[in-house]
Amino acid sequence: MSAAVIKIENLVKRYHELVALDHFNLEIKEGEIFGLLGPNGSGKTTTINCILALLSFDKGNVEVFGEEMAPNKYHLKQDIGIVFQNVAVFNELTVYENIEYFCGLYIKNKQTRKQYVEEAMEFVGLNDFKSFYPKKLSGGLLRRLNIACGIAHKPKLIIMDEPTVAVDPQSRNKILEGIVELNKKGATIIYTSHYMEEVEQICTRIAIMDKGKNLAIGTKEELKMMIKTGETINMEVLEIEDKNLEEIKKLPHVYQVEYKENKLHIKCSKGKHNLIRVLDYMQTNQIAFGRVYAELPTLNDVFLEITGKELRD
Amino acid sequence: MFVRLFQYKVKRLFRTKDELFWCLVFPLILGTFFYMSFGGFQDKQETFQAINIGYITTETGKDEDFDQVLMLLSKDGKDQIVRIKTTKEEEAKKLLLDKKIAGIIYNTLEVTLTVNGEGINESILNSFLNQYIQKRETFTKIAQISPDKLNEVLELEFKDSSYLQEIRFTNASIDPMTSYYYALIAMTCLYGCFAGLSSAIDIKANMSTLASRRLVAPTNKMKIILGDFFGAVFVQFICTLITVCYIIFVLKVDMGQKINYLMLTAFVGSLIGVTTGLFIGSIGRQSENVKSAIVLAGTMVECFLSGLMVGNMKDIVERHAPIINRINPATLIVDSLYSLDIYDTYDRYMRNMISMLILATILCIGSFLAIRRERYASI
Repeated sequence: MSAAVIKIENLVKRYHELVALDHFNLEIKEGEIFGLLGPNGSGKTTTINCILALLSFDKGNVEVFGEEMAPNKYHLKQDIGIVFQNVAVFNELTVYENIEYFCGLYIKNKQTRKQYVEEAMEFVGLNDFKSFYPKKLSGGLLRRLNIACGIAHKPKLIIMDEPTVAVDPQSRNKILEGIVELNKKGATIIYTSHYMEEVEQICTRIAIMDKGKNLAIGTKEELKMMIKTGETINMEVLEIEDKNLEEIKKLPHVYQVEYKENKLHIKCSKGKHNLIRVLDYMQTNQIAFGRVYAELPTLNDVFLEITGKELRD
Repeated sequence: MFVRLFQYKVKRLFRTKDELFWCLVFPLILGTFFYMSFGGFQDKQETFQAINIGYITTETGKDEDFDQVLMLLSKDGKDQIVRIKTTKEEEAKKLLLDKKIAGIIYNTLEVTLTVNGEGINESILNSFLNQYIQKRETFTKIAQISPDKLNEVLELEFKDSSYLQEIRFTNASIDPMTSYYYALIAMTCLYGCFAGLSSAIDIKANMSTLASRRLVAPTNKMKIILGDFFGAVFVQFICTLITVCYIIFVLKVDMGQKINYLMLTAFVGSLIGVTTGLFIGSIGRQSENVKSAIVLAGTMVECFLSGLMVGNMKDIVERHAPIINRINPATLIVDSLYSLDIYDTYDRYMRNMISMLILATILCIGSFLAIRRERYASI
């Protein structure tokens, strides 16, 4: 079994009356791409700042690489890389100088540092922009520079706090591919986002957060198993009577039927042949219907079912 | 590591346009404006131009003594007070109307003066004539009443003709306008506060993400602070030296011969400028813009009180609230430069330097205490 890279126990952080982290627990194992999923204000960034020993907390314990984390634990910090949500680079330094500056805070040997900086630039695809100043870079390239500054020193643990906010799709894909590649090279990644598609795409394990609490944790399959919905069947129906809706609701595995704006949404719990049974019923009762499609549950459904609200509310 | 951080701070500051404008370009522009404004004034102060007059006299009835006095005063040379342009009345009147001469002195039955307007030259002529007439009457009366006392009175007159005595402490030639350049140098030094402010903001995780990124690195916080701090002092010192060189070598303002001490003052001044910014940046949670405004306003007030806008402001403050002059960094810098120029001894200069170093130390300690905290309550 892999060792725990991060272990958080009963972490409580209050901002006056507001409880930002409420007895929060988390354990992240070596080699994972761990997703922290939650809406804005759910406590993701606060958790990260506590892990990094930037923020004081009221109660609990934070361990990194098996040791309690503290501001002066330089040997632990040496193996951590951070990509902040806001771009944090010097506007007066070029792309190369920025990466060199931040890498230099970790790597003292000049030759090694030079090699690492060049590798980081290659990795994020900024080789052609080496002598550019950050103000001359597009939003996507700036994000890539932000990432390069955080990972150039080849850390074992990389924390990425919403690195794709306000990024174009091309740069977003490049960033996501890069994260997977870093993981393949041996880095453990903590990835926070409120974009469930991204988390679903790259994370091996996910924790769903809201109001400073860890609501659910597991692989995406495990999370989806936790909820009642197995599949949602959507149909375009011009007209349907209430008695038909009631009869559909009585079909096996169907637990919720909703008809709104000529669209019929049928939620089924886990089970086989749900779609066939619904189609049979529609044909038998001669109810005209148009496009039909079935959806497997998403993390948003998981979040919705656990918290009663949409992830982006 | 320290050297690397120092180098990067220097590089960053020299590439910051705002920083360079306030710390280098603005003082050079202001110095040039001072030069353009004071240049003409200084020239007028230095050379007195003889006053052009018309002198109308008649052979009979004229005051022979006055005639002699006027001839003496109109003699070519450095002591020449008046220049007689004409002795013809018609021509003199025309020249007076054309403002080519300041006045017409008539030495006929009476000594009289005709002027066309008011001005310094007209006042000098008027004063000279009044004084002559007054003295002539006095001596004539004494000669009539007690002729035996005349010589004694004349001796006293010449003896007490000057009521002021100049006591020189130094051989330096003091130009009153130089105090403006002193205040300009003080302002340049104190503009180091911007570099100090940015140093503080770049190390406070609750003020910038950049600071967070630097603080999560395995580098001692004090090393980062000191690298930034000394980088800022170095850049400010260079900017101040360039300003001083511009004033001395381009504007040709006499700053005395004590160049080493002048450089020391520039260094300590830059140090106190940067520490002021560092201190303001370290305390409180106001935004960077608010802190920049505080720093700028504070610097301008300090410079105003040291005489940047009103030359004798330092003396006014000294009369009404001397304590302000003891703690105002701008005044301390101005007074250091002034005392270097005025006195041959260094007592007053050293007192100012020590005051500045104490202030810088207090601000430094305050800043480091505020910044050194290890974790933040909120970010």
